[in-house]
Amino acid sequence: MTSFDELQGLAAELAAELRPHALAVDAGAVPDIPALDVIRDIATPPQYRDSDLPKCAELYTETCLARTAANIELSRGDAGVLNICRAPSLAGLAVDALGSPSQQEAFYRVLADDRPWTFFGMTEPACGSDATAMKTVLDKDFRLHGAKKYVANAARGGIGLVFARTGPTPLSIRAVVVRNPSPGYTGRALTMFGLRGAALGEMTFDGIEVGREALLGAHLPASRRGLWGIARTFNVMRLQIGAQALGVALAISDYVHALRPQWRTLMTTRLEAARELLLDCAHDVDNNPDDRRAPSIGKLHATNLAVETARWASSALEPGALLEHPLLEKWCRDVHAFEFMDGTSTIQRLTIGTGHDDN
Amino acid sequence: MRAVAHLSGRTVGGEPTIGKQLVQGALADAHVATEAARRTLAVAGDCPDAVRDVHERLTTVDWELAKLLGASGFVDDGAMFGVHLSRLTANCWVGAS
Ligand SMILES: Cc1cc2nc3c(=O)[nH]c(=O)nc-3n(C[C@H](O)[C@H](O)[C@H](O)COP(=O)(O)OP(=O)(O)OC[C@H]3O[C@@H](n4cnc5c(N)ncnc54)[C@H](O)[C@@H]3O)c2cc1C
Repeated sequence: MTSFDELQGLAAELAAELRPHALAVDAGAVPDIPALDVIRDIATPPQYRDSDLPKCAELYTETCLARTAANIELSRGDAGVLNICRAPSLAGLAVDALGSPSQQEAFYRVLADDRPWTFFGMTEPACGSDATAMKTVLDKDFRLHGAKKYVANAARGGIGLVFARTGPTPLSIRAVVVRNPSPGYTGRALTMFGLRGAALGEMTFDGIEVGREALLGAHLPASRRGLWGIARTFNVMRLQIGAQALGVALAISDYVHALRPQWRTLMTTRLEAARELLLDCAHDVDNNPDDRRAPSIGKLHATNLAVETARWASSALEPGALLEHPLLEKWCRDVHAFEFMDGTSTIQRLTIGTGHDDN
Repeated sequence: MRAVAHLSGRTVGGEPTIGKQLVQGALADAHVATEAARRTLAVAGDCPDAVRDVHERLTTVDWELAKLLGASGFVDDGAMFGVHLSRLTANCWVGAS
């Protein structure tokens, strides 16, 4: 067995420990689940891990392929529960890309000591797809002014990144590390339709003093200090979102086939093909980290297929099946979340069709 | 319509989002599908299978329109809550074969 197969097997074992908590997390609970501590460690770069993990776990932070494969399996347990994991997540990947060694050390030290949830504040009330139009400002005294919305862990997160303007041009949009609580930081949770473990919220910054050392990217060339410096990070994350969508679709399909063991459906084949596509796209990203089309192709297909799988399940089973099977009903809500994460399907289509989007 | 009102107030690349061709295409598709559904009910409103088909098509249209609302439709009483209620109602329809 290869390390890659072992990692997939480990992820499947951990997924089985997430599933029993799926409905409780949907209802707002945040249970302590030992498997989440293991997942958190797997998703942390090896030098900052605090427990011994099987060798195969190292692959997770090394390749997009391993991260994608593991996320499919984990989300097949339950993506909502996976999202209550206190992992470095997108904030961690961005700190890896934009932070100096001492900034990385400081960020992961907080994660190790306090075990906080992390946030990645990009979207604002008035702009999402077009991040270059953001209004949040970091002034010359390193004070942050503005607001973000629809950000995971905005209210409960302890540390994260916030993107803000330091000047008028897109190149001047930079990331700063922000702690919560901080004087001037307010977070409010939003009521979510699905994938409730992600805990979306809004945050306002009323002149928070972050300090010069919190500004990431100063050691990088001007073109790579901000938004462009994390383009590769988004490529990886986009496939992780696609992987989570496919994981939920597989969970739905497994559930339906467990209810109807005699069924041999085409959906199984389509989902297997989607897994191949996602893994191929992830392999492309590992070989060419700047290729934006491959992750968009993988994410677009997986998110659309997940919504289709949910629709198939509710129409294939008997009337009232969604009310009779609360897990199925929950997953039929969860699948819609992935559309909005890391670029809507229209944005992916523009990237695939033209090689870039016009935002 | 909610999606039109929402996107008339938002911009991408400095232009109103409502003016983007892919947005207009989605709105046009939704309009056509809704008109077709109306006619289906007019000619076969007493046929349970047709009613079920219409409901499923409208669930698809609902989602295409909800996407246009971005994350705002996904939180705090946004459109997805109503879309889902309509879907659950359709799922309980026992008239079809
Ligand atoms: C579950 C969930 C988790 C999230 N997590 C985070 C997070 O952690 N951090 C964060 O910063 N954000 C997060 N978001 C927000 C997400 O990134 C935004 O919702 C997304 O970028 C879209 O922005 P918007 O909602 O403002 O929609 P808009 O950008 O206003 O888009 C509205 C509609 O216009 C379409 N559109 C946009 N541009 C064009 C164009 N050029 N041509 C045609 N159509 C276009 C879009 O496809 C969409 O249908 C999350 C959202 C969800 C639902």
